[in-house]
Order: sequence, then structure tokens, then C-alpha cells
Amino acid sequence: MKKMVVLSFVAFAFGTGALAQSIDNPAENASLDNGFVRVGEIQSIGRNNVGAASFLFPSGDKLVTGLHSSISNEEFLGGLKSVNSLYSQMDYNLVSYGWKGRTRGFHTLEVGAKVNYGLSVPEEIFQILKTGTAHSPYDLSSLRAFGNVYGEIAYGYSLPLSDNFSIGGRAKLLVGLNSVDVITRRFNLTTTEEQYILNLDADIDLTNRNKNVGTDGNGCLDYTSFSGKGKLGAPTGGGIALDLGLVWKPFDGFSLSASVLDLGGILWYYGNAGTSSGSYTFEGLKDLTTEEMEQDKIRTKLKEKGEDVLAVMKPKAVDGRFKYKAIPSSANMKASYAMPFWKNLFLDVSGLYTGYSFCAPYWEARGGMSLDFPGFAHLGLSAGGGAYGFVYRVNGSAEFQSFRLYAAYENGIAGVIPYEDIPLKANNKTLLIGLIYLIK
Amino acid sequence: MKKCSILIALPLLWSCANMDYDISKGIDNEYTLFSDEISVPVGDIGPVSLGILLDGTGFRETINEYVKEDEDGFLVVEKEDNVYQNFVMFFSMMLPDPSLPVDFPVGSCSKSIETMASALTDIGVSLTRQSLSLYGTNPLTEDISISGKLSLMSEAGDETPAIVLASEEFSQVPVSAEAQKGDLLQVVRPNEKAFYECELENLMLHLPGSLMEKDPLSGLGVISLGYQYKSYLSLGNDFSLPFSFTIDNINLQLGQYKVKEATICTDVSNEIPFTLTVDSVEMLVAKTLEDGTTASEVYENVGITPGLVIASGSKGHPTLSPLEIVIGAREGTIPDISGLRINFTIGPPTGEGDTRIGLNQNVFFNNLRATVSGGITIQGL
Repeated sequence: MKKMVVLSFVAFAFGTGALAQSIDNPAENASLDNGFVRVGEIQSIGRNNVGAASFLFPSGDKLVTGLHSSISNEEFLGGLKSVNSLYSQMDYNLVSYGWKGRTRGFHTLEVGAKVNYGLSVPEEIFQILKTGTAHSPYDLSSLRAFGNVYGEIAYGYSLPLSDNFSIGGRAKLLVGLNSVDVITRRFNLTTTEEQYILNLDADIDLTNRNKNVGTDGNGCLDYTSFSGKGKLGAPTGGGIALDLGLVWKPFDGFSLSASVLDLGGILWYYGNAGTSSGSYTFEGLKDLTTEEMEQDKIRTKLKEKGEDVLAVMKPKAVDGRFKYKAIPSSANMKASYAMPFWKNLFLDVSGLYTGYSFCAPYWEARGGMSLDFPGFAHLGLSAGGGAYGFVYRVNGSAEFQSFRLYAAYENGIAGVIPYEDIPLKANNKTLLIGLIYLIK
Repeated sequence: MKKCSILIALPLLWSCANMDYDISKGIDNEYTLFSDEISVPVGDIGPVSLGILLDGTGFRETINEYVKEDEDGFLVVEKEDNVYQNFVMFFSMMLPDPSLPVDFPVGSCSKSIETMASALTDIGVSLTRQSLSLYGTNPLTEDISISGKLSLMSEAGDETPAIVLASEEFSQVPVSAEAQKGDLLQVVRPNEKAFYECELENLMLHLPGSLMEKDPLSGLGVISLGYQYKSYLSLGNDFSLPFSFTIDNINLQLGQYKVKEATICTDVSNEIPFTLTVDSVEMLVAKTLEDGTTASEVYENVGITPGLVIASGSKGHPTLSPLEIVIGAREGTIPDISGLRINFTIGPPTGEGDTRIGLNQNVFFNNLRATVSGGITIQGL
């Protein structure tokens, strides 16, 4: 299904031309003469600094995993990063309304929601699984998992300060809906012949103040037990964020736009908070008598040891707590130059930097060209490189009467798993699609 | 137009799909973990007492009829017997004037110490800390005293005469009235030939006057001299006894994991005054017999390199010896293990220390750890 969406979109992008539409830089609205209503814009961002090819390897007519005996340690581990992360984000703009003010400014009001989730796994975990325990000690503290759902209510204002310079800003009220966060401040594993030492200090936090996770007899969170009625959508956090931007057109045909988006964060209230803290030393089964050297008795003793480990690892319920989490913020810059011999053809250069509070930043720089036929269509193509290697982007829009349909697709070219659309290499994939009604 | 768009787009998408990664052909679900090596602390096994080690070796049954355990758990040979005895009435009749105190000369007497010590020494067990306590029995209502000379002799051989192992005199040692066992003399020798004969010379009973007047019935009593013999056991210098120690019912399902080599290391803490030499370690696998029952048999296709020698120790002063056993498959991988049989040779103790054997002396396998090299293969996760 996902592939079909991509296919349809690319066909659309190549088959039509339409007016460019930038939705990120709030200053770009300053040039609009009339208002608009935007409905149902969806942007999907998927970023992974390793791909499926780091874990799957062709072998004959089948695939084997990196843990297969035919795959050498260097082959498998050499393709991994020190921290292997997967990040997904879905932005949904429910509705936006923009209108020209009585003065020169342009106002926007937007309501939307964002979902993001991610997972970071340290290479050491795969190193232990692949090679064993000879490279101790291991620092696994980059293990991280999170997921956030929050709503945005934004008011934007953009203002042309002169004929060639505009600024804009957008203030956002962030309403936290749900969040789960697993963060390990300390997760060390030392393995020697004589003992395994586990040292853990981690928080496992889950919002939702109306539905509580139960506890077991030891005061640990029991995720199979809930009490209270959960209210989907009940706020569990709040915050603010700002978008700032400018557009400068120093001479005819050239424009420079820059923006900083999502500067801010959310103060979450984690009603179901747990902390795993402590250390455990495993030195084997102590004081085994010859009578106990039987499988069942050994299994019983091992089970007891397993429970001891769980006692350290299982999160103990603590009082609900507030935590501030910055939302992913990005900085964008784009320069565009219209060819003097054909004003509909533009050369573009753009850059993007996104910072995360929970994983490595993403950046990219691209160059390309675009065709712009105002009132009819826009088509852009660009390519460049970034944190995950080569990346290309196609974007376009088509305008029919008062409706403008726009879309953009960005991806790397390292290939995907057939029929599954799972990238084989580190990849950034962005899909944007939206519809605007232009008030004329 | 639409068809044209799709036709243009298709090659672009298809060129991005790497058919080498076609998941629909399946993913091999074999996983080999820890391909370099993984070391796991296994723990400590023990105490394993000498009694448990000797169970099933036949050694314990062999010596059981000769020796017993004393209150401290040491194996001992014990013997008690009279050397001389006579009725009080006899002395009364023999004395010219029974009303006067008298030194009654008994002369000499001897008694064989008929223990099975020699049988034990024949199988390499040596006697250590032999002791012989000479005591007197006094049925009278008055104290008596006894003098004499005690000599302990070894057994004479066909061509070798008996030798005197100990010779001590005692003079007028009092034996209190009505004493059943009044101590006269104790002889202790650390490590010598077995006491075989006990001989008393110049034995003199120092008797009070009017032996029977104060207690006419004491005339039926017996004045006697006896001995209590006790000897601990240790292994002689020539002792050598092979035996096997089997750990059964382990049932390690290793076969499915395709393990090629495993090394087991431990620090052996030994307080048994035996030197244990590991001759071989055999891997046992379960075999189904014709009648449907299962039995263990030695699996030959595995090479096991045994460790070295476990040094002898003593109670309270254990010795530490590292032990390493390498289990490697000669071909293929190590199968399911039902048990291990460790073949030892028991040898005499070395070095200083208490060499007495006790069934409650223990050996500990401390800090047991296992290292698996070459990976552990599993099917499916």
C-alpha cells in the first residue's frame, strides 16, 4: 500500500507541474495577496542511520541475518553505527486558515497534531550477540526508546518590511497527548569469566494520568495491570514553540529564505513513572552440591537468579513526575535564482539541519532546479548529500481554479527491499502531501 | 497521460529495489551467537566430601570392616584388650601376711595387638599417630599403685626380627579405688610401623594390707592391666588407587547448539590429604537400549584434555589448584551430554600438614566457569 502511494505520487510529480508551496518558513506567507484554507496536510519523515542491508545479507537464493555463521564479524559489525537509530515522525495539519490583515501583515491560524517515535540501539548489543563477551566492559547507555503524540495550535504572523525583505513568526501552543520515554542514564555490563556485573539506572515513563499502571507485590510497575479509565486525548503535558523566518530578495530573480522551526518543547507529566536502578553481580550458582547437579534443580536455581536480575531491571513505581522534552527543531535555508533567459526556471540551493534531544542530528544540503508556472503548476528536482549520504527530492504542485494540490518526496537511492519499501542503507525519506483552497 | 506517468515512474522505483534482498524468498533462521567466545560464570560446587567421592569406588567397602569413624570423622583402627589379670583372692592367698602392704611381683607378660593394621598397610594405607594407653583396673576399696616397663614391638617378618618401637617405664602409678580404667601410661608415635605386640616387664603391683577385710566381696574382683590402641590412617607413599567420579543426570542439551569447543575452568580447593591426578574425563551420552530403557555410554568423538594434579590438603588448610578441562568435538559438534565421568588416581599427600584421612574432609570446585568458543548456533529466535 505504501509503495502504491509513493508510486502514485511520483507519477503525479512527473506528470504535472504546479506552483511551489513552502509551508515551513512563516515569512513566505508575507508575499501572499489573498487568504487560504489548508486541509489535511500530511508529512511523514522516516530517518534511519542504518538500513536493512546492515542486518540482512544475500546468501545464495536466500537472505541470512548478520548473526549467521557465514557472515564475518567485520561484515556485520562494520556496517553498524555506534548508535543505531530509527526515527519516524508524522505531522498532520488538520486545518490552517490564512488571511491578509488590514495592514500589510498576513495572519495564519493552524491546528494540527504530531506523532514521533524512535529507537536507538548501541552497537555493543549486536557486538555481544555476534562475537561474545570478550570485549567487556560494555556501555549500553545509549539504548533509548520514545514515542510522543502532541497537538499544535499555532498563530502565525508575517510582515513584509520592504519590497524585498519579509519576516515571519509562528507561536505554537503544544498540547501533550501521550508520551512514553525509556532513557538509560547508566547501563553498563562487565563480563568476565568470574562474574557478570550489571549496572543500571534507567527511567521508564508513561503518561496518561487517568489510567494507571498497576504494581506487583514488589512495587514494580506491572504493565499487564491497569486501573482507571483512560481518556484518549486528555492532555498530559503542555508547552510552547516558536517558528521564525525571513525572506530576502536582494535583487530581481534571487531570493534567500531562512527559518528556524519548532524551537521549544513540552513539559510532560508522566503519571506512570518507573525507575530501574541498581547493580547485580552474577557469579554463577553458588554452593551447588552434588545432589543438586540435576537439570531440574539447576533450572530452579537459575530461575531464582533470573528473578534477582529482574528485581534490578524491572522498573519500580515512583511518584508521577514532570519532565521537559524539547521537540525536534530544525534550521532551513534556501537560495533560489530565476534564470534571466527564462524566468520560470530556477536554480535552487538548500540546507537543512534537524536537532533531536534523543538521537544524533540530521543534516543535508541539496542543489537543484525548478520550473514555476504561477497559477498553474510547479515542479522541482534537487539532489545532494547529508548525514545519511546521497539524497534526492522531487516536489511539485498543481493548481486548478482555487485549489492547489502539492506534494514532495525525498529519499536516498541506496535501494529498498522489494515489495517492502524498507531502505537498505541509512536513509532519510520524507513524504509531504497537502491541499489548499486559495481565497481569491 | 496517467499511463504515461506510471510508465515513467516505474523504472525509477524498480531501479531502487535490490532483488538480492527479496524477503519473499525467505530468511534463514539460523543464528550463530557469540562466534568468538563467551565466558559464563557457572558457580561453585561443593563441598564434595571424601565420603561422597569414595561412594561406589569399592574402597570404602574394603576398609569398612577394619576401620571406623571417630567422633571427629577421622578413619581409625582401634583395639582394646587385657594384658594381665588376676583375682584379688589369688593375691590374698599368696601373701604370707595379708594384713601387711606388699609389693607383689608379677613379672612379665605380653599380648599381641591383633588389629588388621597390617592388612591396611598391605594396600598402601599407613598408620599415623598410633597411640597405646595402658590402664589398670582396681576393684579394691583402697588405692593401689603399679610399676613396670612397657615395650611395643613390631611384627617379625620371615627373615626380619621384631623391633622395639617404644619402651617406657612407669613407677608406682596410682590406680584409685574401684577404678575401671586408671591411666598408667600412654605411648604416642607419629608415623611408624604398626604396634604388633605389647609386652610388660618387671610388673609390680603395690597392694595395701588386709586386702579383703574391708570388703570381703572384693576377693572376687580382678586386678587387671589392659590397653587401648588407636591409630589414624593416611595414605602411604606407594598408595595408588584409580577411581571414577560420575556426575549423572546433567542432561545438557548441547547438540542443538552446535558447540564445537567448551573449556571448563575451576579452582579446586582440596582439604583431603590425597593427591588427585585427573587421568581422563569422559563425556557420557544417553543411549536407548533394546528394551526401551536408557543408559549412559561414553561418547568417543569428543576430545577432552584433562587438567593436571589437584594437590593434597588438610582439614582447615586446603590447597588451591587450578583445573582446566577442554571439551572439543573431533568431528562435527558436541552432542547432548547426559553426564561426565572424571577418572582420578588417588595418590599420597605431599608437603606438610595433617595427613589423617577423614570422610568429612571436602573438596570444593570454586569459581567454576565455562568458555564456549566458536559460537552457539540456534534455529529460530
